[in-house]
Amino acid sequence: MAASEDFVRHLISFGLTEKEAVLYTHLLKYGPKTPSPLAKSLHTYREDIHRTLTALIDKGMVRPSLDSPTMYAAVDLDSALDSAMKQHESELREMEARKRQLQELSAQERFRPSDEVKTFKIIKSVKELVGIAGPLASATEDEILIISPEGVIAVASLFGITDEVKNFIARGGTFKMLTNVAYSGIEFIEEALAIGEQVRHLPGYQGIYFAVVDRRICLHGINIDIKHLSLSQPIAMLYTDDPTYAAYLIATFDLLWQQGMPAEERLVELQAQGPPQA
Amino acid sequence: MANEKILETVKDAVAVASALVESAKTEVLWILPSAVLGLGAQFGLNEMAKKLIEKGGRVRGIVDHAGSRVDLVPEHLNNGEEVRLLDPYQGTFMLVADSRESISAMTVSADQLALDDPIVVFWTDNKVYAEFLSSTFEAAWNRAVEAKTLL
Repeated sequence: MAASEDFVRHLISFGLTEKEAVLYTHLLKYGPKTPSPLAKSLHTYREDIHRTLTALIDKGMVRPSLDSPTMYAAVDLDSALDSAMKQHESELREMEARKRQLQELSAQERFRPSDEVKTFKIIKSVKELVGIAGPLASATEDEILIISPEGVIAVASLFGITDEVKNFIARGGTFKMLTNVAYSGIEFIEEALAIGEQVRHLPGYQGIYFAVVDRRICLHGINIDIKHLSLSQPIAMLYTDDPTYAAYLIATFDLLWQQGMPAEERLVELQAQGPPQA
Repeated sequence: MANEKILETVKDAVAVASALVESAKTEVLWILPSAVLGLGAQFGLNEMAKKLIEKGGRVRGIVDHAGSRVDLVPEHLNNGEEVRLLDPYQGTFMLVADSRESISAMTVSADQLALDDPIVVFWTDNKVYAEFLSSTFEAAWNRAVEAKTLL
């Protein structure tokens, strides 16, 4: 009895319903039968037996006789399992075909599920910012736009972000930066221009820092205290991949870019003026 | 899901700012160039702020001391608003209502005062963004000076 129950359980795990597994096991154990004695033995109705037999015939696990009354015999186990597996394979092929159709339809519909999931996160320390900015620069594909106070450029150089930017430009990326180009920052601006950054000067622009990467990822900080920057210093900076917010920052950047002076011209101007008088 | 929109004219920004102040229940925070204070007075924002304060709400504002219309600050103080001055303020201008809805802009200048002038303003009801602006406001608030003392 225990062996039969175990056998039924395995058949169920193979994909049969409980009724199918019990009926098939019964036919295997007691030989071919008509529906009436089967219904009596399994304590159910003939209609129920007929439905289950039809399902087993479809699966290739039971064979009806051609004589009358119709007898139903279990197909030997190996053949029955092969047949059931073939049916599953056939279903799998159908599912694969449907999957391909759905993928094609999805491409036609241009579903964009990733745009629905937007992240707004506040970065609270310089350490956290550096942890995000480095990998972000190395994963950038097309474009980086930055508005930055002069001091941030020195910090970027210090934490190795300039090297990541250099690699990015070497891969064909565009890097545009707006900053206040002052005499004290000539060295950093020259370094930036040398690696292919496009830089423009915005006079006296200090308060805001933002970066837009690939027109999607935004980092936005306000009034960061650059003079006292250390890894543990608390800051308030927003990280988001929200497309509308990116559009807002890009529109702001474009407006200010038009007002900016090319850094090359500004450097000539500064060198002509010489160092500021104390 | 939070909503958001880019406002492209001064007219739209004033309309949204007005709706924000009018619907606020507990608190409004703002940082504005002094030149914009005139627009607020002209379109009834000061009255709305006064009503909010009368209902028990709190309104705090920071204004650029170097601006041309600092003379408009006393009206805000008379309304019961708490106003501080910063000289100079170089961050994002903002208005945040009830730590949820906000408008913010980086390119507001004293010249952009005609209603049809182009501007780039971000409106959202995203709470995280409001938190970001509020923390920025608090940092500026701590550096600013009481308007009552200076004026």
